[in-house]
Amino acid sequence: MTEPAADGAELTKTRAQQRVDQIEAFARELGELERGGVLRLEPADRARVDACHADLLERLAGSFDVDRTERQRRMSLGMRIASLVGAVTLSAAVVLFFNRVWGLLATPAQLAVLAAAPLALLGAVDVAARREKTHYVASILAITATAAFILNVSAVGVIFNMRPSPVAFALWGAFALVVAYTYGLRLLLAGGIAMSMLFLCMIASRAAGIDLGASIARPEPILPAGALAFAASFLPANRRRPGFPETWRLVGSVALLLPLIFLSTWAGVFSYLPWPERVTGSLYDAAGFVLGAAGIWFGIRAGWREVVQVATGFLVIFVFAKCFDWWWDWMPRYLFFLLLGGLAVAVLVVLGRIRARQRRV
Amino acid sequence: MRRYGPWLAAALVVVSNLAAWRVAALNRRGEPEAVLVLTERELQLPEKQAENTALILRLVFDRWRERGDTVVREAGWFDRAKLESIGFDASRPVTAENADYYRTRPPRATYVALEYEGALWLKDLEQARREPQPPFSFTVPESAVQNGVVRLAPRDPFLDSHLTPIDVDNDPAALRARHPDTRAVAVVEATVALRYVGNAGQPPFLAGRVTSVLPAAISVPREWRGVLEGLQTDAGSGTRPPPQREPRFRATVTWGRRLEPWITNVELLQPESAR
Repeated sequence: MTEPAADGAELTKTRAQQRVDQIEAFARELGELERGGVLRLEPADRARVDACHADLLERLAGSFDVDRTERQRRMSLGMRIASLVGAVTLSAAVVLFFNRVWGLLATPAQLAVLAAAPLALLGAVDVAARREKTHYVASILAITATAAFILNVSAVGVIFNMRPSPVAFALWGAFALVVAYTYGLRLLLAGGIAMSMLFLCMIASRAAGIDLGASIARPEPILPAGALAFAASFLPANRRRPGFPETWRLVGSVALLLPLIFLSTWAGVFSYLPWPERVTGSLYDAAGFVLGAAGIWFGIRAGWREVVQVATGFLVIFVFAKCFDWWWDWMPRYLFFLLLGGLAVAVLVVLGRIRARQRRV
Repeated sequence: MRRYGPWLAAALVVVSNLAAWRVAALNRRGEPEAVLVLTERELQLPEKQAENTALILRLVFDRWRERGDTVVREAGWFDRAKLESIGFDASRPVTAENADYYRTRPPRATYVALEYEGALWLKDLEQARREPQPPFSFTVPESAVQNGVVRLAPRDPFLDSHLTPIDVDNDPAALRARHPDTRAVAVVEATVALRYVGNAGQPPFLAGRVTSVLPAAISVPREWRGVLEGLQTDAGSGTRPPPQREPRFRATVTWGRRLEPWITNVELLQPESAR
């Protein structure tokens, strides 16, 4: 999948696409400068540059299936959306087909069909991944294989009337992660991380004697899991796979920040901590503001766009949630909304300044 | 990873299936934990669905259902002490100030003893005979909801499940030791909730409530499907048959070592009028 680039760095699809975009921007700007009479390359130089770019584009398109024009880019987006829709509908088809026929089968046949479906789909993923570089079909089949495995474990549980167990989430998460790492599929990676986090939540709730169904209402175990997911983005195994560090950071940031909205606002309901609600709530209030601001700051400095977006979205929701929590009961409604409006303007000003500073940098 | 990844994923599928089959076999090996002969009252038959050919019976146990208009005035056997014994923090005074605290306690996982036609069921039945029958459908008054737990309507011995929760414990072995009759009492995993009962005009109190048992659904093996399929009504036909006044089938349900049930026999029952 990777080949060395001219600068010695390992060339991935992302870097190849960046290079193609760079060449396209260069050609457009050069045309503008030439039309404006600012710069005119000698015909021989121009021919050399054009030939070099044409050759490079040809090689990159051959190796990485990069988009060379805006139209191709739009087509790629359409293909990504189509593959997601395809994955969802194919998964639904697999589940509904089994629902339709399983009553007609004896138990051994049910079990055989359930185990065979993910195995057959795994084989299909492998064949598709070998045949096409883009992995669109492979990704559809991989998500369908995961859905078939989820169906497999769930239906075996129903057939044998088993009690629900968190282990199912560990199995699904492990399967999704293995397939994601094998074929470099980011959506499945995100799904695998999410299922593993749910597993941790359920393990914690089981240890605390809380019903498994209520485990997601105690989201504290997700916080350290989110921090670990964030740290995992720096692992070499992730850094050499295109899009994987971003996915780990994205899921890690969401896992680290989203629970804080609930934990700070309703600590007595959502927290495991035995301390008084006011203490726990204040702790999570502070964590929300500090982590939200830190996410934006670090995200900007490190160039992690996904972290900046998640942290900004979180901080806006968090601030409004806290305003509601602190002021709604005692403040006149008109004043409350006036204050929120003022806060929205303040947020715009702050974000505008950060944007302006980025522009200067 | 590219080379061995597919094999690793396939191994995961195979191993998890083998493990599940092994666990199921272990559950069914040896002396059963309980064997109960239940009827349609306790094993609810679903409607026939074109999109789902599975036949899964729902285990129904008697519980406080929010369909009556009588507010519970006492906790019964599932009181504050019992709640504390299974891990609920009930250390705060039971007052209106702490109502929100108690109302936001998460449900807990524990084990419950379900007794079939036991002493508690008989006691409730006697009480039901003294109380007027409720209409088939009526709404819960708002005041009853606000004041606390809404009690079930007076029991209908023909329609209601005869399976009653009688005890809970975090240790299933201890529960079984207290209720040793394996032909009348099943020990199953359950979800229980803590209820703060406002009890208008009286001191508030805490009461436990078994909200569900696990698993609540019992799949019917293919050999028994034929017996039950004829009793199913079509989903979405627009017409509902009148409520059954007596059960049409009985099934033997066996619970294994892992407290997981399976059906070992199903037979049709003759209506009273035909006997």
